[in-house]
Amino acid sequence: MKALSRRTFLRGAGGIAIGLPFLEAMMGSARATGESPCPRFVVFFSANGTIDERWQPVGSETDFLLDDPSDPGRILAPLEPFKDRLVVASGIDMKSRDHGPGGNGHDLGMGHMLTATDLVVGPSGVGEFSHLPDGSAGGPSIDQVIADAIGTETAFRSIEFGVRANLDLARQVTSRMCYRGPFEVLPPENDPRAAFESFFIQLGADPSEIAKLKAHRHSVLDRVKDDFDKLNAKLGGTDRQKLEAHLQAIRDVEQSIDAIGGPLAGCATPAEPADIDPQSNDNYPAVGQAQMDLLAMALTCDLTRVASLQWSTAQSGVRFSWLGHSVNHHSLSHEADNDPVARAQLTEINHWYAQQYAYLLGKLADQAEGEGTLLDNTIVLWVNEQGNGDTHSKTEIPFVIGGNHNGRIDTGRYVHYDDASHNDLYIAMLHAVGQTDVTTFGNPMVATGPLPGLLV
Amino acid sequence: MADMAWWVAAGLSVASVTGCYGGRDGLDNGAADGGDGADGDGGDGADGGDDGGGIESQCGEPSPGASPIRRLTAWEYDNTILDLLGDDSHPSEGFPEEGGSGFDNNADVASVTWLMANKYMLASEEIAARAVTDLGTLLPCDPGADESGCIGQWVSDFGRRAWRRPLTDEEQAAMVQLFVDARVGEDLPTSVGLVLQAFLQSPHFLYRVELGVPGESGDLAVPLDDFEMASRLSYFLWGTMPDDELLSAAEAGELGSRDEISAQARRMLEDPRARRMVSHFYEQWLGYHELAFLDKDTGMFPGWSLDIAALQQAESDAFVEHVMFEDDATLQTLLTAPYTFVNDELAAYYGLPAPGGADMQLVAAGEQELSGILSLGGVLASHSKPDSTNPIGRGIFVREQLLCTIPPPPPDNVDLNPPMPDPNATTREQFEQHRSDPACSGCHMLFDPIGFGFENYDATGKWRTTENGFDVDASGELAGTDVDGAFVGVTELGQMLASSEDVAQCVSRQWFRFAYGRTESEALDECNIETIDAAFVESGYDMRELLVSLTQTDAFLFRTAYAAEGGE
Repeated sequence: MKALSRRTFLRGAGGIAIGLPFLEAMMGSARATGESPCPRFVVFFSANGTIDERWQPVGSETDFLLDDPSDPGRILAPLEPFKDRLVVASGIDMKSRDHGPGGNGHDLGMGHMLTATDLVVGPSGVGEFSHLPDGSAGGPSIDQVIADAIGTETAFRSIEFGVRANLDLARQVTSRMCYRGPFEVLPPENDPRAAFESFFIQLGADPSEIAKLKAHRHSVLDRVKDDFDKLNAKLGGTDRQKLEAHLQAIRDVEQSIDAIGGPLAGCATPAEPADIDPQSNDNYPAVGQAQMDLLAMALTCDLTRVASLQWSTAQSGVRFSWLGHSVNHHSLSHEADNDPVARAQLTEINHWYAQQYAYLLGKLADQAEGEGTLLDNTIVLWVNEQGNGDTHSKTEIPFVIGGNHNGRIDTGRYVHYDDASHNDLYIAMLHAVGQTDVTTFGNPMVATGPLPGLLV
Repeated sequence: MADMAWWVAAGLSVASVTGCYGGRDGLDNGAADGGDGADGDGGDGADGGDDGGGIESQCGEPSPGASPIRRLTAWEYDNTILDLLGDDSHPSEGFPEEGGSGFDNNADVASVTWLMANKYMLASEEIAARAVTDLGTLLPCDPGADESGCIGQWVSDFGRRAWRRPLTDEEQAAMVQLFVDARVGEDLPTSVGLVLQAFLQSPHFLYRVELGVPGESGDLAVPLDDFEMASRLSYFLWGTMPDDELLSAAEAGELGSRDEISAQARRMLEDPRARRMVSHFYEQWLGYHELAFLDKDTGMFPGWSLDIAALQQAESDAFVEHVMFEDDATLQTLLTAPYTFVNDELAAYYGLPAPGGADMQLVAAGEQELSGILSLGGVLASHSKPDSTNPIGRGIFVREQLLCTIPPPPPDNVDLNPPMPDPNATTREQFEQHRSDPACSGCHMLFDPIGFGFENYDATGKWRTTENGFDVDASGELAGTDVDGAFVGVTELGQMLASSEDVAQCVSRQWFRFAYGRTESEALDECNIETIDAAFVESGYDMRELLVSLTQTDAFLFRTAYAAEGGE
């Protein structure tokens, strides 16, 4: 228990001191006692649905091709090298979309995608194209529920990366996917250089400088928290809730300050990302790759165990100029069912995202951990807010589950479900990271239990 | 208590899940907890001068409507740091984007999360580091002679400006204590810098805290104190902190009557900071605030580049500022002015006569039609697609932003995008299905025909008389408004819209949303809306008078009492 005594105690709002060290002491003993590796969970989002028949693997559950030489350009072909370490899960629907408010397919898709529960209408009600301009998802997203379980020991409870994942003021539900609860949205960092500064710049700095920085930050934040405490007592209603949430955010910052420390094996301060405009359409691939490099290193360095990468937004208007496209992604998605050129280009877009997904899996697979690799202890869930982009379908969402978290997931398979609910997929994810007593997720009306056939 | 639950949950999860390795063994911690600063209860009554209790409501019982607390927007943050410290580095760059519906200052923004709190911390560190490089400028006195006296004076002076009101004795003492504690082991600039960081991360800086003037117990609405009123005025009309004159007026109790407040508003509208605010309003209202990220197909529009888009931003800013401050500020002029602003480069792109030089200068309409905001290249380019004009989007822009009506949604399974450009037809011809298919025409007649009226401007906002070799047909029609009828081109459309009562009321509502950071409520804001609508009509639709009238409503002069919401 010696580790406990030298720890600083965080002070809660009610003056109750509860120690971070307890957690760390538990963790510190873990490796020595030979327990299982820490689970990590990553969400990888791309938008506007897929072309189902070009996405589906060819073959049976255990004997299938992602890359069919006789039929080049299949969407998941870039994942062939990782075939044994992933599950392609088809036939999963967003049944929760049948419930609750919202009328726009992209709102519904994005808001339900990770929360699997009813949307919430915002103060301005319903706007153009049935969007809920300032509405919100109605519950916590799966990544955040998992962060509650596995994200509390690291510097960052979770890290949200984005690539031009910009907020559309008139379509906020389409712009965001990670929530701690209704209207408690976690915006992603879209700028790799800013992410680098926030997450990595102190790794490897002079220890005495780090100690001084920590002390300074704590002294300032103690003063600031005192202002919040005194003010919050005078406020009422939602104003008070807002400032309480802000105070909690400051405590999260303190957690990240506390956990800044020395590097782990395999952990290195990544190269500073190139100084390019993260908002330029044509920089999209380069920015995405920089974000994936940072994400992989954040996991390697155990800065966080929960992360997400949001490529653009629902209804993505990115124009894939580097693939020679002159029409943007969303427009193509609405032509693809009728126009062979658009269909081919939409296939190319999804194939390109598969390349990116493969790049991220590759980064994790390159990092040794325990007897395997970091990928073996990570789940990288590829999600989309639609099945078919033209009809905004809520069925046949193209899910891919990469990594197996220490053998918990039965990988190397192509599983076709029959009208499964994505609530159940997330219950299974929670079981995979150790929350085996969880019985429901999101809207309980469409949740039945962990999706069968996924876990070992 | 919620806090405790969070940690308990964390503890449970450790026990059940994460007995694991791969984590950072023994996180190096060693962070110092400096204690919680001065505790105790000193009461917060920072009260300058008289209270505002003398203002009578125009609505019988004061009816402020919702009055949510407002956090500085990124734009306001930068403006405030500039005015507070002379730091023009735009420290908010990289803050996560935020906003409610409509305008960036909508109070219904999401709560602050780790990312934003961390950005506030990093920004405050950088701002402080810059500020303390020149203590001679920052401090009001010579710390060499009497350091503790000088710091005390600085905390008091700077605090009054940073928090936009005098500090309480308790707050003063706590800030000085932070300095004293830091100074034990740090040099003077570092110690001052830490105090500066605390000022800038405090809720009293980041939020516009309004407790109001306590009235009778049980009052649902309370008037604001004079300092709170100073901030309401300055953030509405300037997007920044109060200037010395406002703070002095607050201190002297001279912001407690309608006349005093409207006189300040008129003074403030003469200040260059009001121009900045006006540009900020218009670019959001008219949707040209993202010109820097515009994406156009340069194969289809040779000569277009982001440089042109940047010039269109400057054109738009120059135009709205001219209408509001040099011309008569009327709605009529905004919608029909037969002029715009270009420099030589933009004039060459548009095919207008070069005014001579790189500065934006007024040019009058010649061959090309010009009709106020309706023909601004930046507005038209922003409501177009990369490769086509998008009459639907332009028509919806008029309906939503100028008429304040939300068109009903299309069926879920239809293509919401314009057709791919067809080199053998005009854009107009490609939308024929909307007219011929009864499933579409019911709604599309509300906006497509408005959009067709803009067909003389291509997807980059450049004038054209032919498209794909065909003559452009810019005939259109307004339906479902108080000024229905057919028209040809933007000039006629502008005249019709300028005569519309629907448009005038929409404009006053847009300013309401911007001024108060929220959407109007039919139920709770009836009196507030009536006040500004009446003033707008009476002034001959003068938008400067509309701005002044927005400072005279219950929504501006009062707020909902926290006591009525369970606060202290």
